[in-house]
Amino acid sequence: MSNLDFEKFQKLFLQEANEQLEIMEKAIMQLEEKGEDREIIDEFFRMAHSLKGSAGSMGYTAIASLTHEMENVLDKLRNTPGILNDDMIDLLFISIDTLKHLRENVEKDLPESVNPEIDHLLQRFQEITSPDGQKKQKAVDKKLYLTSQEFKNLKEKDQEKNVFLLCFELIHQQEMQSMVAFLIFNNLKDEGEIIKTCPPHLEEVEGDLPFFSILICTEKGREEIGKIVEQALDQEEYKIFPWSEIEKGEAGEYCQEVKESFARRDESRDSIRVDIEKVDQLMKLVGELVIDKERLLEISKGIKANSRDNPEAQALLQTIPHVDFIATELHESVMDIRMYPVGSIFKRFPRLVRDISRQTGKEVHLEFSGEDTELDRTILQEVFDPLVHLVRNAIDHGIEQPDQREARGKTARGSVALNAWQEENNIVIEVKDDGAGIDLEKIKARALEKNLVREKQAEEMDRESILELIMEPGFSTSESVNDLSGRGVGMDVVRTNIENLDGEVEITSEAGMGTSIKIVLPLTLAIVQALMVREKGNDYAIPLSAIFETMAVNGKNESDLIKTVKNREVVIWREQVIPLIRLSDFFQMGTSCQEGFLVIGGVKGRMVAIMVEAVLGEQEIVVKSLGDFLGKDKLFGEIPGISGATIKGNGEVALILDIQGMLKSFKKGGDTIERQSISC
Amino acid sequence: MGQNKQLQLVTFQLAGEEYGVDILKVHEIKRLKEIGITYVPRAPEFVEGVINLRGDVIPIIDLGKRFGLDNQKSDKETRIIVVKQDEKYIGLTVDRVNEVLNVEEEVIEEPPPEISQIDSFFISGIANYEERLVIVLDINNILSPREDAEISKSTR
Amino acid sequence: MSARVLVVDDASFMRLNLKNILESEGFEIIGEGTNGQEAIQLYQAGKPDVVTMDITMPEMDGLAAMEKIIEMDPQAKVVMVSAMGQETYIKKAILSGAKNFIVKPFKKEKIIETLNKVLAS
Repeated sequence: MSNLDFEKFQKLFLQEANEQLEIMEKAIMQLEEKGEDREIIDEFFRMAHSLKGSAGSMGYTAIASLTHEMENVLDKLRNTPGILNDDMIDLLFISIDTLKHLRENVEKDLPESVNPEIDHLLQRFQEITSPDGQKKQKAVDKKLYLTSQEFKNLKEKDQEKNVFLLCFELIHQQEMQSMVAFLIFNNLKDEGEIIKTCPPHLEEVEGDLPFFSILICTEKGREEIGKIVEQALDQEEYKIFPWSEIEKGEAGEYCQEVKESFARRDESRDSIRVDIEKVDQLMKLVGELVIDKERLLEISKGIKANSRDNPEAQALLQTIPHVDFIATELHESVMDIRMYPVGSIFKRFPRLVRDISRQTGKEVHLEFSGEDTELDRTILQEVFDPLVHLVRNAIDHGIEQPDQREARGKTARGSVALNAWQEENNIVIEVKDDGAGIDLEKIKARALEKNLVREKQAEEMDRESILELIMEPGFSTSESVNDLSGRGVGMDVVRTNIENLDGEVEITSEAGMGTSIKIVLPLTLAIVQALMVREKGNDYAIPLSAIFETMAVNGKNESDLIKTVKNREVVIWREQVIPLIRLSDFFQMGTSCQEGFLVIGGVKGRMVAIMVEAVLGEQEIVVKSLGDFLGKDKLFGEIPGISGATIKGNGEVALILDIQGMLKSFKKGGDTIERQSISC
Repeated sequence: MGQNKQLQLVTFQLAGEEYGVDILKVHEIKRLKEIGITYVPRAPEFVEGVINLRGDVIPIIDLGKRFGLDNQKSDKETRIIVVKQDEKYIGLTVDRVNEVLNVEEEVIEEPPPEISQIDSFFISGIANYEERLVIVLDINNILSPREDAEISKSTR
Repeated sequence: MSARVLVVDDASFMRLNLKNILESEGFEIIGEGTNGQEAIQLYQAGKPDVVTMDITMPEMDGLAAMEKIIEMDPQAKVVMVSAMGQETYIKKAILSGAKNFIVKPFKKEKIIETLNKVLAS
C-alpha cells in the first residue's frame, strides 16, 4: 500500500469508525433503557464486528482486540438472554470511550499503544464471557418493528391477500422451545410469505424462546392458518391478529411502526461519501453561476428593447429563461446535498444527558421529535455547541432534584425534549424542560446587581425583555459554580453564536412548569430572494423574507403616511404605528429625500418602515460576507445595519441590509433620528 | 558564494513619498476607474468601500488616510494595489505606481525613527537605492489589529 | 379405531416405556424397530399411522430412515424423539418432512398430545 493509499484508507477508516462508534453508543443507551433487545444487540454486534475488521486490516491492534472482546460479550448476550446487567453496560460504555480515545490517537498519528487500562478492560470482558456468568431473567422485547415503508406495503398486500400477525406464548413446552418455533415457521412457510418475525431470523434461534411472533401474508384464511399452527401447539398458546386489527388494541403490544433509520441502518439507500469541501466548492461555483444568470437576465432586458428584428438575439432571449431555470434547479439540488437531518446531532445527546444526570443526581428522560428536519450542514455543526449548553442548563438549572419534584407534585423523573421543525423559511430547534422555570424576580435582581439595567428600566420591562437579560454578557443566575454549566458564561455566547448564523434565540418560561428555549435559524444562508433598493446612488439588497410591503411616498400622501410622535417619525401601516428609518439618516449619508418608497419590514414581530429613494425590483442574491476585515470582531469592525454583501449582475458589490440589526442599533442610539431634521 | 538575496519591490507614490511592497505580497494592480467601489456606510473613515474580486468581497482602504497623511484627491493615475497576507486580500489605493525595483536584501536598512511621516509600525525598512529612499511597507502590520482603539475612534 | 404406531429406538428401555404409555391410552403398537434399517422394513410391512423415531441409532440413524420413509410414502407421519441439544438434527428432520418432535426425557401427556396433533393433521 503506497503512502497515498494508506492515507486514503486511514481517512475512510476514521470516518467510518466515527459513525460506528456513534451507533454503538446509541445502542448501549437503548439497551440501558429498554433492556435486552435482539435487534439492538445485533446492530451493536455488527458495528463492533466491522470496526474490528477494518481496525485489524489497518493494523490497529488495540482497537481490534477491544472490539473483539465486545463482540464476544454481545454474542453471549445474544445466546443467553437475561444476563445483561449494569456492570456490562458500564463496561461497554467505558470501552466506547476507550475506542474513541484510540481513534483520536490514530487521527493525531500517535502510536496506538496497548496500555494497562486496555489490558484491564480486556480482562473484565473475559470475566464476563467466561462460563460462569450469572443468569437472571429479564423481560424480552416482544415487539415486531416495521418501517413506515413496510407498513405501507403490507396495507396494500392486505387488499388482495390476508396479512396475519401470529403471536406465540409457549406454556406447555419447556424444552427446546426454539424448535417449536422452527416447526411452526417451517409449516407456515409453505402457506404463504413470511414477512417478518420476532425475534428476527426466528429460524436460526436456538434454546429458550417463550415468546415469538410471525407476520405472514397468505391466501389462506384465519381458520386454516390456525389449524396449521395447532398441529404444533395448543389453542391457548397463540393469538392470531388480522391486519385490520394490527394498529389498535392488543396487537399494538406486539407490533410497532418505526422510523426507517431505526429499523435497519445497513439497508439504507445507495449513497456515496463526498468530502464536504467538494460540496462547498460546488456551492461556490453554483453561486457564481447564479450571479452570471442574473447578469444575463439584465443584459437580455437591454437586448429586448432594440433587437426585435435580429433572429439571433431572439434565440438568445429564448435561451436565457431556460438557463435561469436550470441555474435555480441546480442551486436547489446542491443545497439539498448540504442538508442534513438534525437527528445527526441529536443522537449525540443521550450520552451527554446520561452523564449530566448522573453527576447531578437528577433523573432525566430525554425525548426527541423532528429528527428528520433538515438543515444546512455548516449551520448544523455550529449549532451543536450552543445546544449542548442549553441542554446542560436545562438539567443543571431547570430540572429539580427528584425529591423536590415529587414535593411539587411532579414525576420524580424530569423531562428534557429536543424538538425540531420547519417554520416557513426558518428551522426551529427547541430545548424544552419541565423543570423549575426561570424566576423573573431573581433575574431582575441579578441584572440590577450587575448593573445591566437601571431600577426604573427594570420596573417597566415586560416579561420577554426580562428573560432576554439572561443572554446579556456577564449575567449568570447559577448559584453554584460547577464543571457542568461553567461560570455563567454561556447564554450570551449561545446568543452570539446563533446570531452569527443569522439566527435568533427565543426564551419562554413558566415558573414551576419549565422553560423552552428556541433557536430559530434560516433554512440556508447561501442564496435568498431579495428586494433591491437604491439610496444616494448605492444599491442595497433587503431579504424578501423580512419585507411585508412597499409603498410609494410622494407629496400627496406623505402627510397621511408619515407622522411625528414624540419627535420621532412613524408610519401608520394597517393601523399599526411603526418607527420610520430613513436610510440616508441611518447611514449618515446626508439628508433624506421626501419622495421615494417605504419598505415595510419586520423581524420577530418588530416592525420598521425604511425610506429609500427607489425600488429596483426583486432578485435572487448570493449572500456573501463582507470579507476578512469588515464585521464583528474583525479588524475594521462591525458595520451597523449591514449583514453581508452580494454581487450584482454588473459585477459590483451591493450591501445587504440587516433589518434586525437596524432595529437594534436604532433602539440603542435613539437620538440618531431626533437629531436629523427632516428637510430636503 | 557571495550571491545576495534579491528582493523585488513594487514601488509607488503616496503623498509625495516613494513606498515599496514585496512583489510576493502583491496580488494584482487595478486602475481605480476600472472597478466600481461600493461605499460602505459607517465604516472606518479610511475604508473606501468594497469590491468584487472574482466572487469574493474585499475592502479597499485609502492608504493615505490609513497612515494619517494629508493626501490629495484621486485622479487617473490612482491605482489599487491588491495585496494578500495569509490568504486574506485587501486593496490599497495609491497615487501612482512607479515600477518594479530589483534590490539586494542588504540595501534595506532598519528604519531610523522619524524618517517618514507615517508610523514606523507600518514600515519594515528603508531601501537606499541609487540615491532614492524607498520606504518598504510591512503588509502584515498594516493588516494587523494593533490600533483597534485608533480605528474605532475614526469611525466617526 | 385406535391409531397404529411404529416405535423405533435402539434402547429397549425407551421402547418399553413408549409402548406402555401408548398402549395405556389405546394406541396399537404394530412393531418395534431397533435401528433405521428395521424401521424402513417395518414401515413397509405394517403401514402405521404414525412413527416415533429416535435420532441416534446404530446402522442407520433416525434422520436417514425418516427421509427414506417419506420418500416411499410422502404422507408418512413421523415424530422425532430426541435428546436435549439435538437442535440441528431436529431442524434437518423438520425440513425433510418430520411432523413434530418429542424431547427425552418425556412426560406421558406430552407424547399423547403430540401424537394426537400429528394424527389430526
